[in-house]
Amino acid sequence: MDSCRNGCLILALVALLCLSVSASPNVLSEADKKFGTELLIKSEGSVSTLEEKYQLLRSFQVLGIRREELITCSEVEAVLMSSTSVKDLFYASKCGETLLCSFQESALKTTVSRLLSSLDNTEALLDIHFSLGTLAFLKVQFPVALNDPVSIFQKIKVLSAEDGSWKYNPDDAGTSAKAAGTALETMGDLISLAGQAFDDAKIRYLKGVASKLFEFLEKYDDGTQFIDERPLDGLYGGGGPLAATSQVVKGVAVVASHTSGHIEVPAERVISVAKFFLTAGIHGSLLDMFHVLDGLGVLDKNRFLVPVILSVRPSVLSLSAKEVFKISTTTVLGSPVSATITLRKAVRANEKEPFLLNQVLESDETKGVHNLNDILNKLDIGSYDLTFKVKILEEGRYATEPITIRRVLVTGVASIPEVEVGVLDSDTGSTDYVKRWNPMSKEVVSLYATHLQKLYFGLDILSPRQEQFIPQAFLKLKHETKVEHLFLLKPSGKKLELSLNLLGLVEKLNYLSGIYTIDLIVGDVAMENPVMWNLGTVELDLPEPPEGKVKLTSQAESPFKYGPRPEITHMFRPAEKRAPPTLSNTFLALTLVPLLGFLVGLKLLNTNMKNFPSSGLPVLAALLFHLGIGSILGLYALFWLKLNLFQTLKLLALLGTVLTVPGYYILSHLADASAPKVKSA
Amino acid sequence: MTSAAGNVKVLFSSLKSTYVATPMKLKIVNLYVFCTLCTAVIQVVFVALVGSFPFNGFLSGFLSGMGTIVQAVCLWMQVIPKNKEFKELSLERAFADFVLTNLVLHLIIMNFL
Repeated sequence: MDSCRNGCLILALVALLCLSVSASPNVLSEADKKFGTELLIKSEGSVSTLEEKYQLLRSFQVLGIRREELITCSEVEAVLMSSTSVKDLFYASKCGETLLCSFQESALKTTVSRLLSSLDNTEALLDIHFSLGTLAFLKVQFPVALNDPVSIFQKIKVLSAEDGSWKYNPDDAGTSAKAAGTALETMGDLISLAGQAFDDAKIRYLKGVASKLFEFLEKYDDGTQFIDERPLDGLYGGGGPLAATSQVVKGVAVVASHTSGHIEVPAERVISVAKFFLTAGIHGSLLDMFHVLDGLGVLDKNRFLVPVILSVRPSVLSLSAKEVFKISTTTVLGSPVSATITLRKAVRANEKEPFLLNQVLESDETKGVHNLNDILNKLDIGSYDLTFKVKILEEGRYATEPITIRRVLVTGVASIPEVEVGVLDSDTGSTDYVKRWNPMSKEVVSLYATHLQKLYFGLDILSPRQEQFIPQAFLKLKHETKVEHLFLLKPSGKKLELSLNLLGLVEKLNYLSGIYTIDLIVGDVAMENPVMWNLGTVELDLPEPPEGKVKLTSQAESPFKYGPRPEITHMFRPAEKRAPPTLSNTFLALTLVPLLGFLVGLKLLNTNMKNFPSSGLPVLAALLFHLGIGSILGLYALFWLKLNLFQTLKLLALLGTVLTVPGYYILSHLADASAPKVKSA
Repeated sequence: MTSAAGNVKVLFSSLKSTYVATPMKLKIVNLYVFCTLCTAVIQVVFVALVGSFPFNGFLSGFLSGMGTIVQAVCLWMQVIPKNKEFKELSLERAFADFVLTNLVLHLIIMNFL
């Protein structure tokens, strides 16, 4: 019940996420496949075990390539005949399946009987999985009959847990979803071997397990979902979330392929799992690539649900190269799927008003590609969010996100007709000198300004559609001594402007007078032609620096700016002055003198110990009392020397309790002894 | 002058004779207080000579003396035969209180040391 509710919550959240910030990975393109193939060929030399060889073969298979150099059918047959490890037999049979080998019954009779007997003796999920997998492959070649399929089914079922996860062995402490995926794959193989033993109830049970497995999916922030690896999985091969998710998907696919009818799987979760594999991509180790490709291979063609991904190519469109948008709906590996796509709206990034609404895209049915040509003459440079609505023609087999948003960047050539350069009077603002710098002629300007004036720079930038466009623009003033200062041009109205009030800048410029070269730098992510223009020079006449302020030369400045800083050594506080040891020891002795004085005084006063009990229990109590007090004082000494407060308190509690008994006894004894005396007094 | 000196002498001798009459227990407590005070004074002299580092050591020693003096004075008050407030509490009970409070004080002093 709880998991259902959580599942619904997650569904709703993910649906929301899909509409906002979600990953929009691309399907595997031809370039990606080629890159993957190259990586795999490079790692061919380093594989040695059968498992690795199978992983390589399967990866090639998904990419659409046959490689027979890795292992031949006769080598596979040799392994199948002679090997005693069920794991090796399994991977050999998987290699054989990928290579489409065929074998004779006579050669593999002993193998089959060995496998059947090992099935009877084992309780471990992985052993059953390997044995049944091998037998299922061999059944394709020649008839294979199981001894007791129902007992094998029970053996697998007994390892399941309440929440739908599985164990690998009966004595495992934890369970995992990956093990459940393995169990599903094993039971799928069992159905293919002994379908008649599976009645409707068992099939329904299996489909329920498959549906429930999707509730174990966890989410990343970008909307992709995956099955996480549990500590248990680490003991039985590991492989991380890629391996776990791929195994679960495989398990569901195998069950779907061997049963008829429908398995209830939530469509958007399958799509999120597809996105998970696509964002993982083809790079990393051979093992990671194998899991990604295996998972994608299953998601590309299966009988439960095939996710369909919308791709918009290119994601960066160049107007100057006259590129066009091609939108396609394909499976994860790139096979086209027929659908109708509507462009719901196109909005410039950071704006609210869409400039295009509800346009059905014309499609090229044979290639599954749709065109978006009408939009091109309305596009200007910048970023756009395109919202698409997809409707697949074959709803039952395929699933896709109904609404997707894709961000595209359109680049183009911006034009700057001229740059206005001027020197203005600080107080009045009137122009003393103004020049229009033309990028065509590149005629440099020569300015002269004092600290009482202002420098002014302004420019207009136009996009390819002659609209106003605001990129990033900087002005660099560089002195002869190579000291540089950067200023940012800010948009005001329709122009980009910079007004430098030299009076305020005198200090920043370090009172350095002289000739500065002026460079203008303009660029943007959407601009294909960034520029750095030398506008000319300006001779600045600045006043002398005031007393005490050192005029930093460039040599002094640059090591500080970019070179290493001086090392900071920590200055510790100087130690406090202590008394000389002789003085301290003298006073220690002096402190003990009053104690001696106390004892002498007691003697002088003629004190006695007559009340000290002489015999029997009181003696013991009195002795214990004094010993107790002494021991507590000893404990305090230890506290000072070694122990911490907690240990002391514990011991003190103990000693204190021990002390109270004799103390109470002796004191009450004395009280009783002296009571008649008091009464008489 | 001589009368003043003579008066002081008479004063001292009358004090001395009265003091002899006090009970033994009180004399012991008075002696204890006096000796502890001496110890505290010696510590103050040391600090005056050398400076107050480490301050917590000085404080714990000095306050140990002061604390135990205060407790001894409380014991004295409870033991004195002429007291009217503590008649129902026995001497032994007062002494047990003295011992207990001293132990607690010294635990805290040791922690501070």
